Amino acid sequence: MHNSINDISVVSKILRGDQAAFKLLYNKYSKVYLLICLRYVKSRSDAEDMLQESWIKIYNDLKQFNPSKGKFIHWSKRIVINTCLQKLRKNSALDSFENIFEIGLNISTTNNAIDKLSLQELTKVIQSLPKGYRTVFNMYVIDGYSHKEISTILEISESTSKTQLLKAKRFLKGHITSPQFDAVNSYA
Amino acid sequence: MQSTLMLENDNIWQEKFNEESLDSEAWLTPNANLFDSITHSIEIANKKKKRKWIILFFIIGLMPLLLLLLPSNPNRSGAINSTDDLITELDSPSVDKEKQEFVNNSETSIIADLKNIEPVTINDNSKITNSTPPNSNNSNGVNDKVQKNENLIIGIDNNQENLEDTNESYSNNEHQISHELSLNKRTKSNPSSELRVLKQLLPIKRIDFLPLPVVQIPLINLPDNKTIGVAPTPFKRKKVQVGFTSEFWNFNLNNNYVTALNPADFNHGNGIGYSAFINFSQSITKKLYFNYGVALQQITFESGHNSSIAYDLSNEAENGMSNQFDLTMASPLGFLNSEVLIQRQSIANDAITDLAIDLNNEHSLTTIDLFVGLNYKVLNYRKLSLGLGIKGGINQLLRINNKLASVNTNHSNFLSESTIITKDQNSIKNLTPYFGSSMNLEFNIDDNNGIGITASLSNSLNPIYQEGDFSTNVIRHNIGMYWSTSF
Repeated sequence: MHNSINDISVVSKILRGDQAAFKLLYNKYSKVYLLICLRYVKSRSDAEDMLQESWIKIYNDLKQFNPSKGKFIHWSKRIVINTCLQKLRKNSALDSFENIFEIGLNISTTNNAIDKLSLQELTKVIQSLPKGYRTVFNMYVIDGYSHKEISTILEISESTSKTQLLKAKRFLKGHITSPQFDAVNSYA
Repeated sequence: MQSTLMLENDNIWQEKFNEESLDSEAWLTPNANLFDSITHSIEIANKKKKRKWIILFFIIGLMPLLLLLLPSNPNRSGAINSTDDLITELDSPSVDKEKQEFVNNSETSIIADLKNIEPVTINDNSKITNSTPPNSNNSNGVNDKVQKNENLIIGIDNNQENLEDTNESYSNNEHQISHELSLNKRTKSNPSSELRVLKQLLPIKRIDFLPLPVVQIPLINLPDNKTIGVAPTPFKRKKVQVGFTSEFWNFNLNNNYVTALNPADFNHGNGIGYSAFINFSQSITKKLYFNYGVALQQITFESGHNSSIAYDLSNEAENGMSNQFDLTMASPLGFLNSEVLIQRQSIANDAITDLAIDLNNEHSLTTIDLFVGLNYKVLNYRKLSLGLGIKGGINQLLRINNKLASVNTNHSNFLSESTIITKDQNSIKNLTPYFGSSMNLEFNIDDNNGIGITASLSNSLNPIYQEGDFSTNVIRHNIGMYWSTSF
């Protein structure tokens, strides 16, 4: 794994107290982190709260970053995801994994349907998921956690994790291919 | 089929949401005030951390002051302060009568001298006599003669107060007052009335004496310490010592760490430096002292090992003949990172050249100790004393500084152009408790001051570096000198 030399030098400068370097890092990765937060919560203000907490944690834990063990972006993304999950747990957002009325399974989807949607629209689609489905979907499909890891973090069984994922995907299929699907583009 | 589709969909989701560059996604721009909120929160957290340290150091600095305020035993005994027994009533018929009796009685006189007073104890039967009987004709004036009275001394203050006495036979003199007093009758019959008269007649601001029949009086200008049995110089209970020591730190790497580093021919030196300390001592007994204090250390040491890199011509920058390498280096306190620029001096024969490099690092530590302990004086010979002690404390790492001092290659065509440390060790335990023993030899210059030599040996209770199976412990020796002041 090769870290961007810029990232390493910027991190070194931040550790020496360079505030301008911190701003540089913030400008570079804030959008990436905010996108993660928006996948885990529905409201923009909650997402920005999580983003703020994540940046504070990243700053305080910078000394622990070891470039020989991985890229900075991967290390920092984990911190953001963990911050989001902690927040969700605090708000009891992960307490229930419900059975939602499922849209008909006969609707099929292709990669083209997803490809046609913008990142913003896809984010909105994910936000439309019920909270339990959304969390498992994000962790497994996008953030690369295994079902075993998900079950440990969320304190659910592996089978529950798999079931939630399956239902999330069915739900998404229905939403993406449904003629009633209407992406909202406003994030003001 | 469905599972394949779903798997393909997973990849699409991952690709869509894991792009590193989202510059074109304007909707992802956070609120403009967010960065300020973040920096503000970080500043508040840092201030709280600093505040804790400041409070801790303030408490440590305040401790000697609090000890100073502890009450100590009084040096003199028999302090006499009570004047409550004095009767303030002056103008009463019985007093007037007694006053007249004093005037007419020429048997005794009492002469008070502010400058020359000796202690006496009187009993009921003592008389106050004066070698020169008072001149009865002098009742309107003051007897100027001053003599030592061996039986009764009354301490008086020199004051300018006028007596309220209406008796014309007494008048006030700035320094001397003569007074005729017969104590026999008055002592036995009416001590309180005698006191009334005394207060009335003498410009007494303060009389310090015990209730009769025994009177002990505070003394002024004591001629001889033995007469009054003044206590010897009190035992000094508190000490403060300030000094410097030379420090020697042995870094003991555990077997796993040594084994892992052996292939790279890892070597390291022990830490050498100095320490400045201040130590406060409070005696528990005459030989046993409780100590506490703070010390600041500055330690430097070196380490080095080999590494191998591959110089690739295709990695050279457009206008340069160099390769940049991110290297992980080992030290007694863990791993650190650096960027090394290797410059090619002339044409290289191969597209990729394997190089063996020798890395040498210099490290410096600044640490602070807070310690407590006990010290016992095992030997006292004339002005020399030998003490043995135990102590424990915590060592806090304040700062670590690393420098890649040299990078040597095994190929003369490739030389190190520049080096920079990009990341310091991150698994050092900043706070390390330790325990040890000490010895000190002190020479007393005078009653309060002394100089001494001190030596100690300490062992860290936890490793100073711990990362997985790798760890390093520290054993510290020091020897130095100090100045001691007792109070």
